[in-house]
Amino acid sequence: MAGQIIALASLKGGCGKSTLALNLAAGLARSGSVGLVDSDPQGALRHWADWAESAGGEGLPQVLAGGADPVAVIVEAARRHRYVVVDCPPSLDRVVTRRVLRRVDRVLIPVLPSPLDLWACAETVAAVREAREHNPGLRAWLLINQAEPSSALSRAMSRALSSLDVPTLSCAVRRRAAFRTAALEGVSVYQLGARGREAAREIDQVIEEVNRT
Amino acid sequence: MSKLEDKLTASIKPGQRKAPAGKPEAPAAAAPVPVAKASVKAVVLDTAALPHPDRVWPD
Ligand SMILES: Nc1ncnc2c1ncn2[C@@H]1O[C@H](COP(=O)(O)OP(=O)(O)OP(=O)(O)O)[C@@H](O)[C@H]1O
Ligand SMILES: [Mg+2]
Repeated sequence: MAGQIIALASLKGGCGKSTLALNLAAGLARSGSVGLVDSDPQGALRHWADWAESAGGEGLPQVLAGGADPVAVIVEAARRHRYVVVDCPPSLDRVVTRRVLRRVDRVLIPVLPSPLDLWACAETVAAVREAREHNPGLRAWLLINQAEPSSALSRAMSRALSSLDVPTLSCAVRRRAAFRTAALEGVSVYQLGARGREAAREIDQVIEEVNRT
Repeated sequence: MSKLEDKLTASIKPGQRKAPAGKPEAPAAAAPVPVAKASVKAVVLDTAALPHPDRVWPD
């Protein structure tokens, strides 16, 4: 993802945009400087960073508030950092996500293994298509988050998603306590040591696959 | 390909599945029935029982 701007976006709330944005940023930070832009007015990442600071934690990438003009913040961050990771707000109705999608190089769309999330992600795919009219180089992937390998529905998701015209990453992120523990401790899964090892390995795989494809 | 996969995939675009020829469209949904006022109870929040807002994490 050299010199790249990558967004985490979805029409659906609660699919893991903020969790994945923070942990992907932490993973990327091991190979270059990262600016993490919080373009969500809810400010989950700013909260995470504040909490990390008050808990004395270290090692989180720098979180930049998107403020009134997240695109300007993204452009500025791209000048200073090798990677820029952008956390988007939940709703595509918001002008913010549409504007961000016109400016970024790549977008990951997290999707939970559930029909409701599957349906909503079809609309997000339509928004990507629309963004490409202005940003033809935009590359996009669906990413199954909170996968439960023992559930038949989780396993059936990949096939259902393959009927959409955005590819799905072959690696998925499993539902793991480590992702929540990390938030509680004001760190990324990389700082959880043995408790976060599997989660960190999954984030590494996401980075590797996005780089490779 | 499993039945579950088929069903999940078909569920993405339900509008594209044509109703069988000659079958009538589904009737329009009935008008919403208002909820009787008496069934809505006010909930009183006992704020004194809540942890102090400055507490970071309730025990
Ligand atoms: N892989 C995972 N395993 C376990 N828990 C997860 C995972 N991914 C996300 N979560 C949890 O799921 C919830 C929603 O995640 P998150 O807040 O990151 O989603 P979001 O898409 O940013 O939500 P919003 O649309 O409100 O911004 C959080 O409680 C988070 O800790
Ligand atoms: Mg969020």
